[in-house]
Amino acid sequence: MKHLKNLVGELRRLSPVGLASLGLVAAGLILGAVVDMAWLILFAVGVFGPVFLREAGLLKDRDEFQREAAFRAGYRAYLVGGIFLAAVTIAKSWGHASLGHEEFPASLALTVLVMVYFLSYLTDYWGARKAAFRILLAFGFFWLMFALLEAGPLGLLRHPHVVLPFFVLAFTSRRWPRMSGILLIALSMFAFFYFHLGRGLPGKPAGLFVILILFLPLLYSGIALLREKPDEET
Amino acid sequence: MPSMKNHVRRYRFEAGDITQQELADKVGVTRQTILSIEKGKFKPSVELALRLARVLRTSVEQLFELEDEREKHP
Repeated sequence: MKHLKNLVGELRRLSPVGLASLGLVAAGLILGAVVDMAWLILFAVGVFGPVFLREAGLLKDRDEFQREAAFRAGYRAYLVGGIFLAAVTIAKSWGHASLGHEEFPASLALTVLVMVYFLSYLTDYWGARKAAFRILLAFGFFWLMFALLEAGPLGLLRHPHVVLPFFVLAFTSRRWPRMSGILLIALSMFAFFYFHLGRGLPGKPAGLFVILILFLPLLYSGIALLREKPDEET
Repeated sequence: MPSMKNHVRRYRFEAGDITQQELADKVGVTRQTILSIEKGKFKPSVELALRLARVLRTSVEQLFELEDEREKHP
């Protein structure tokens, strides 16, 4: 309950830019999934708009610690996204003598970049426990939203195995980080095999997309919690 | 490369038990930044170190020190 109160307090302290960004991202994802992918423009504005304005010197809402965490996250997104895209390009072009034969959905590349950036930023800025709490809550709400969109008000009852682990582990991660870290890694492995995510590799981008939004946040949060030193909690 | 130690937490209490949020507001950063400095997770810029020293009514050298300096001059 205390963690929830803290979270509500932090949400209240969110800057107008942060709130607007969050609203645009959520609206873009919902409208893109339900109405038309063209609405993803709202998502793009929410994710990249504030970063662009900060880089142009028009928005000065971050202190130096936040800027340092953002720079590191950007570098990691470049590194992971670059390696990922290079690997896919090589795999898709295998057997050809020139570039341009590969077909790959841009949405997957965008997901890799944005996911790595935000997971890294949250961990650097908040520390492992608070970051894991936020990551798991965010993905819990993300999956809840899709469960409700797909099955209406009964969505949670039809897909509790996809939604509930995120919420339960979000709260246990603050109090029992080690145990939660082990559980998260075990759960990510279970999800990998239970949902046959391995079948999506390497040829089916849809399978990769599910890995990114289901398997990766669980595994990342688990590893971050296990790597946290006892005195690192901030 | 010697690591850096800081006494921000101690000086915060000596300056009248000011909270992390109050200190953050006075130097223009977030509470999480103050917390990370106190934990040694983040090394502030010279400018922020000077602002912290001014608010806590001390000097930068009193707030921050290199770990091996303590070994040389205990």
